[in-house]
Amino acid sequence: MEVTASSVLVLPFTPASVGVARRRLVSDLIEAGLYGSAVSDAALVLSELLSNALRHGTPLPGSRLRVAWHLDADSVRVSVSDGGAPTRPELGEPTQSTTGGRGLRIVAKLSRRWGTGSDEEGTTVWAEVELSQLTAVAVPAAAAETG
Amino acid sequence: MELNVSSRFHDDHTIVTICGEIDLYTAPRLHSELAALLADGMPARVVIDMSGVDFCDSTGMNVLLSCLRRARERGGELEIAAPRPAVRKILQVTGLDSVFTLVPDADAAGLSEPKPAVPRN
Repeated sequence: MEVTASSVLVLPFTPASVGVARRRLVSDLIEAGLYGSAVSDAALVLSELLSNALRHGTPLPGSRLRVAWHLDADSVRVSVSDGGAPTRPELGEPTQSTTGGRGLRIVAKLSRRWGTGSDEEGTTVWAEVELSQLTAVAVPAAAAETG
Repeated sequence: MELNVSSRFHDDHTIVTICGEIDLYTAPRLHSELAALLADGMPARVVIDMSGVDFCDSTGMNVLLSCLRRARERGGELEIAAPRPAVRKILQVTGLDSVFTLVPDADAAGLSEPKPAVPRN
């Protein structure tokens, strides 16, 4: 069964790219047979990583950033690369009613693991969203039952 | 469609219907629309009908949270009506489901009787 999907997008370093990348990811995952929370969790994780890069990072050369995802049998790995920032990504500790600091906590909660890397080009933040049995490609019959 | 915001004005509350996606790109416009509704002289009770929102991330949550704070400063409230599963998920994951007043649908909000937070259907 074909469960592998990989994409790399190089997009302008602007807020409009968040939705562009997210919609491409969602359509790739649906095309690969995923649905439900696997798709929406991956979309949320990607949106948070991209928002962080745009807020705290710097562009790659040419005022760009790079987004990639890879789907395998039991997870979706998404990653966002920018030109780096003066500070490393950190989990915020927001109180319930403060604004801000939530993005990476959401990533940490929705992914089985996440991490950062840096090289001469800049910083990459990645996260792996696990596919549960209910949302995995192998059991599409569950879709009809939940409708 | 990226984001549409429309408002209906009642005597003691305003119903704001949001359709589309709330993220880093669309959040500033949502913030300015909601801030205008929470200006002095307007009802401080705002019901956000989110039944047409198919995506919202932490940037969107922060907009709603700052407007909730503004409404409460004025003695009012900001209620979230009919969130879809993806929006309910981020409310749960962030713990904000216990901060916002959630109502099953926009027409059930703004009434004098308190409504249960979770629809029973």
